[in-house]
Amino acid sequence: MRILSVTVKNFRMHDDLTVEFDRSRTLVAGPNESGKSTLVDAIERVLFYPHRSKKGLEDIKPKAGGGTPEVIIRFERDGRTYGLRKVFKHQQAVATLADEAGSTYGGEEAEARLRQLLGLGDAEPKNPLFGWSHLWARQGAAGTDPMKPESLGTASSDLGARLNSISGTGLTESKRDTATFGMIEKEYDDTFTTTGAARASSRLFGATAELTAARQAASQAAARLAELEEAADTVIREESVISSCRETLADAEKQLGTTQNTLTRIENYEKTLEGQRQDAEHAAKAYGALREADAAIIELTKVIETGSQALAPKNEEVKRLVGHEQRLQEAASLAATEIKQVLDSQQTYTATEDFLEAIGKAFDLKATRTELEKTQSEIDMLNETIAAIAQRLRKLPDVDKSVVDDLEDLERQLEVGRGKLEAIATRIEVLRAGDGLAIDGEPLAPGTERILTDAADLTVGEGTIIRITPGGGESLAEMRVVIANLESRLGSRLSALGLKDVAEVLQSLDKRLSEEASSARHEEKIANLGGDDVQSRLEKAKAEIEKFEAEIARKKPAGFEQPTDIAAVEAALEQLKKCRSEVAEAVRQAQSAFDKATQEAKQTREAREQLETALSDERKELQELQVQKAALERGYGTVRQEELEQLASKKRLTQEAVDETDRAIAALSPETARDDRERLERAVKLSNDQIIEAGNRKANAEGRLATGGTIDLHGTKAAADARYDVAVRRHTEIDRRAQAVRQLRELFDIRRQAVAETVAAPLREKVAEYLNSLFGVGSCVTVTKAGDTFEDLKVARPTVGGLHFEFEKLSGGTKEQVAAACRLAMAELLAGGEDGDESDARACLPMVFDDAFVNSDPERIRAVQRVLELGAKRGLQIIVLSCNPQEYGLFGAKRIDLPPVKHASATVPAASDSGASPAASGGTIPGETTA
Amino acid sequence: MILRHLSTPNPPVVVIVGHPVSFTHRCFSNPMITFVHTADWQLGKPFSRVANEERRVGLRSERIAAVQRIGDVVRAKNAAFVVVAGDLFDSNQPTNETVAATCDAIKSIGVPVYVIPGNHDHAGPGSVWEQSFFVAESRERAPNLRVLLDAKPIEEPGYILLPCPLNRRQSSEDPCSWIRDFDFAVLDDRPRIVIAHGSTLSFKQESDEEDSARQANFIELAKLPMSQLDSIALGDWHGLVEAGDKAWYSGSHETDRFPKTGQTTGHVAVVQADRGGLPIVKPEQTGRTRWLTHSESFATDAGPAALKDALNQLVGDAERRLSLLKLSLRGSLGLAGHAELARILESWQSGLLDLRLDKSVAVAPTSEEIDGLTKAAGDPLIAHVARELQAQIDRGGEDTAIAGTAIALLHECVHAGAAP
Repeated sequence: MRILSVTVKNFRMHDDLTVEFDRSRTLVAGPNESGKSTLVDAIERVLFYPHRSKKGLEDIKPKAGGGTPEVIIRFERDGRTYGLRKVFKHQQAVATLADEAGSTYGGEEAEARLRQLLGLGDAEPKNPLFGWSHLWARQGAAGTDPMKPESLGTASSDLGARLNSISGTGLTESKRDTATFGMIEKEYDDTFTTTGAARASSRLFGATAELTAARQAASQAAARLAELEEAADTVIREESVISSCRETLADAEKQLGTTQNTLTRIENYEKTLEGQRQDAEHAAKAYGALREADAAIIELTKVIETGSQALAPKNEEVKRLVGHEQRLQEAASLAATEIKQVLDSQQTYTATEDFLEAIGKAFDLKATRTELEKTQSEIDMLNETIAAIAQRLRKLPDVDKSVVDDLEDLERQLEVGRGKLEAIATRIEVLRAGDGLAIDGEPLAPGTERILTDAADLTVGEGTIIRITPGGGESLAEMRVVIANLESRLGSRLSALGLKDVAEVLQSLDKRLSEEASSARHEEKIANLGGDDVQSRLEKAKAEIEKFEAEIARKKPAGFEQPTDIAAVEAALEQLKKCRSEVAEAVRQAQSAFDKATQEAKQTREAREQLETALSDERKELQELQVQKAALERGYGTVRQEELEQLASKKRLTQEAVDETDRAIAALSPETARDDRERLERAVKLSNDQIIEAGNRKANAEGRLATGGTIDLHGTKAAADARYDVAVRRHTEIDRRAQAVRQLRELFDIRRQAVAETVAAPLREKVAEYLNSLFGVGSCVTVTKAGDTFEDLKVARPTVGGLHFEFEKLSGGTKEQVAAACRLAMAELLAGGEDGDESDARACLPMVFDDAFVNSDPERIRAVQRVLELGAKRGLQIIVLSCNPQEYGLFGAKRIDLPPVKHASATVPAASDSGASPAASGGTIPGETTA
Repeated sequence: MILRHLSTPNPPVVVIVGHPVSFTHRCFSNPMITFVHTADWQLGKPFSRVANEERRVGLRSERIAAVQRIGDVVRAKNAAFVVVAGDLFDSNQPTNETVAATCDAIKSIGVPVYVIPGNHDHAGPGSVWEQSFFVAESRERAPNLRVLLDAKPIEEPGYILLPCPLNRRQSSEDPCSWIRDFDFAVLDDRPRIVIAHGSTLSFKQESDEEDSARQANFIELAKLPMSQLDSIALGDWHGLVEAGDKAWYSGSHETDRFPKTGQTTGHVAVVQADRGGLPIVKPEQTGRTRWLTHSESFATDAGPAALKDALNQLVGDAERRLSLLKLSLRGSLGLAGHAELARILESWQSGLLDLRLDKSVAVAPTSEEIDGLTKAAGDPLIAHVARELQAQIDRGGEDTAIAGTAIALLHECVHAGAAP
């Protein structure tokens, strides 16, 4: 259809407005609030709202108040022109439809006819999405997804039907298809979750759980039964062990009995053997003792005999030693006598010697006395000389060395004083003399010398006198006094001595000294001669002589001729010495002989004593042996051979008995028997232990076997196995059905998607054609048809690399443009008519774009104009409403400028640029006015 | 203990018609004894293959009830005693409840009941026979019960028992070997009855164990001094069968498994024996439960309806609650046939004591069914999916079963959904 004109009365701000549309391209221009959208609302209202509809009635009332909203529209459909008028006023609403043939419909009939003309079916619409005006791009909603159900409204199903018809009838899903799929999907959803797992509430889940539980139960039952059977096996096994052990035990005990018997026999034998051994031992001992005693007696006899024989030479030796000792003692006695005799003669020699020595001494003393008398005589003469010298000395002045020294000292001081006096004097020597030279009046000639010792006046010529004072001062006078003093003292001393001068003093001293020296020399001679000692020694010698002469008289041996001189004495002494030497030698020899004899005697005695001791011991031993022998003979008799033979026989017999018993014991193998007993006792104990242990294990197993009658494990296992079998079968069955459901759902899904793909293909192609105008060749969309709706609109543009973007993620401007392309494509498909003939010139839908590109820049709006032009070219009636009409200047549309609001009823003439003029006057419809 | 000395100089000829049991005719000079030979009661058997717990309890109760019916036979036949040739209990550790119920049932028999342990209730360590509860309970509640645990003759007034108890579940030793070496000179003319449990070499049977074939507890009848023995009462084989001239298996007193073809189960053997003669053995039914088997192979979708008729005829309405059915289903069915079969089986599953199903029925949709799905022009989606599944089935491979289930499921959904 095409809208030819519309008249709006009392519709919001429009009191009365008529717009004449171009058949293809109309641009309705007007500023904001000029009523462009209201105009679109009015067209939508008159076409798609039943005239009696109360919906939005308040909204469309005139703002100025008064008047009833009314819209009159003229349109062309299938080459025919129709006029439609609707007055919106509740119960008084009016609808009138007239066609050019003159038919007029009113009320509901008009509405029904209108729906037919609009291709909306017969049924009265019940929802606000009724009709295809939703395809229009409305102000503020131009950027919404045009494929969404809420954007499409009932156009969706129309579009779907249209697409189905294009694809062919074989693809359209029937109600039964849908219902069947619904059942399958429900069962699938009941069975599976979204992830494909079995839903917890599903039979499959239950069957699987039961299968698992049944498997576990079967396994547990089998395990418990196995435990039970194991316990039973244990009991049997342990019974077998016990039985086997009992057999072993019985066998061992039997063998032990036999062994015990053997051991008893062995013990009896051993007891017998003990007695026999004692007998044998006694016999052997008796025999041995007798034999030993016999041997001992024989041996003793032999020893005693030998010992007695060995004593004889020793006795002889003792005797010899005794004799030898006696001889030595005699020799020693002889030597002692000799010594005594010699010693006696030696005493005589000593007395003679003493006598001779006294005589010699007396001779010596007499010689000394003579000497001493001579010396005394010399000393007496010297003493007389010394007395003469002392007499002469007493006549000499008493001058000694100190007096001389004093006098010489005085004389020397005097000399010194006189020298000094001379030294103080001044010497005058006249070398040349003029006239008038004199000293103290004495002229002085040349060559004269004078010594001045006192002050003198020197006259030189006339008028010159010079006082010369030697030494200056008064010293010269002092010196003269000193000298006088000294001369006085010297004279007095000399006079005291009676001598004239010092030289005489010196002579006197020399004389004295000479005399004194001579006296001293004599004194010395006396001292050298012995002095006073000579006299005492003389006296002593005289006394000694007297003593010795008495001694000589006393000691004079009888008959001995007293020697007359010393020489005879000495010769006698020499003779005597010789004799004494001989005597000493004799003594020495005698002593030596004595010593030797004594020593030997001692040694001999010791040897003898030793030998005697040994002899004594041996004798004692022999005596003891004799005692022993006697004792043995007393014990064992003297005739022993017969008894010895008897004892030997007894010994042999008893030993034979022992050997026999030994053999009997050995035959019973006592070691083996004892080992056997130990082994068998061990076996018995071990078997008993094993029986106890096995019994314990058996009792334990029996305990485990006692179920107390509460459960039959065989039955339980059988039941569990059966339950498992049932569970397996049931699970298999349910699982197979679930798999079948899954497969069905998959097959349905796949098929439905394929169908949707196929059905949506024409729409995608159409949209792509429009997009190519916008974004260039290569643009495309993907969209899926899902039932009556479309989903997943995505856009790909060559400008952005052909990538697919979801519609909602596009920019505002792009959304507007893509939406416009989609709307045009859908309108074109819808306009294709039910027969699908797109080339039919009658196939047309008016498409409204009400300020639909407000987010697009001017350049893109130019591209949009190409899209709009494509729609127009393809037969769509394009109506653009814009507050910026200059942007659509290149669209080449008929421009209609809406008058300012509140204008009086007016027919808006078409803008001059299109060159068109109003085709008809407003406010009429074909049926009401005659053309 | 009541002992009856049967003295029948001219015993009647016993002819059992229409029964696979032989009979013997002879004159007896020695005193004859009549006793009931039974075995394999397996009381306390869990019947774990039966899915329903209530049914399992019921089956266990039936086995106790059948013991009580043995008392009826004893009284009817004037039997002197009963021998249970092993497997009185299903396990050698039955619960106290089982023991108590067993003692009560045995007491009701009223004559001595001689029991030997079998392989199920062998007298191994920890066995029921030595459990204090059993000892006390049996003494108190079933004074007529005699458990023979030792392999030695039991001389009773009028008969001598030669028990061969099993002391373990499996033994390579012949449990009767002790009899070979036994000095029979010490015994007098009382009939000698061997009681044993195991398989026999002379009777080349397979083991009648459900769990596994065993190669143990062999009884070599040929090695026994047959002339010294008068009756050999055997247990282990659950059907009544003659194993030798004097050797019989009595089978279980109440059927406990789906019997092999031709087996007589749920009976006891009433035996008349004397010293030196051949025993006369006569079966008496004591069991009530019916263990039925049926096989069906499907070719068309009419199969389920035919199966339904066959089952009605086989089981009968009145005996459904006492019947167990082993149903083997083969062949293939279309999708609708499958659905029909499922409904029928559900009904029988609920009505029978147990339905043991061996089902291997292939999903083979009919061409109409396949076409109905794959060529549904109005339902392009269903048609496409059905074609995919069919192609998968046609290709074969491991996923075929799932694809078959899927196509059946699709069929089910399509038909369960609203009409197009």
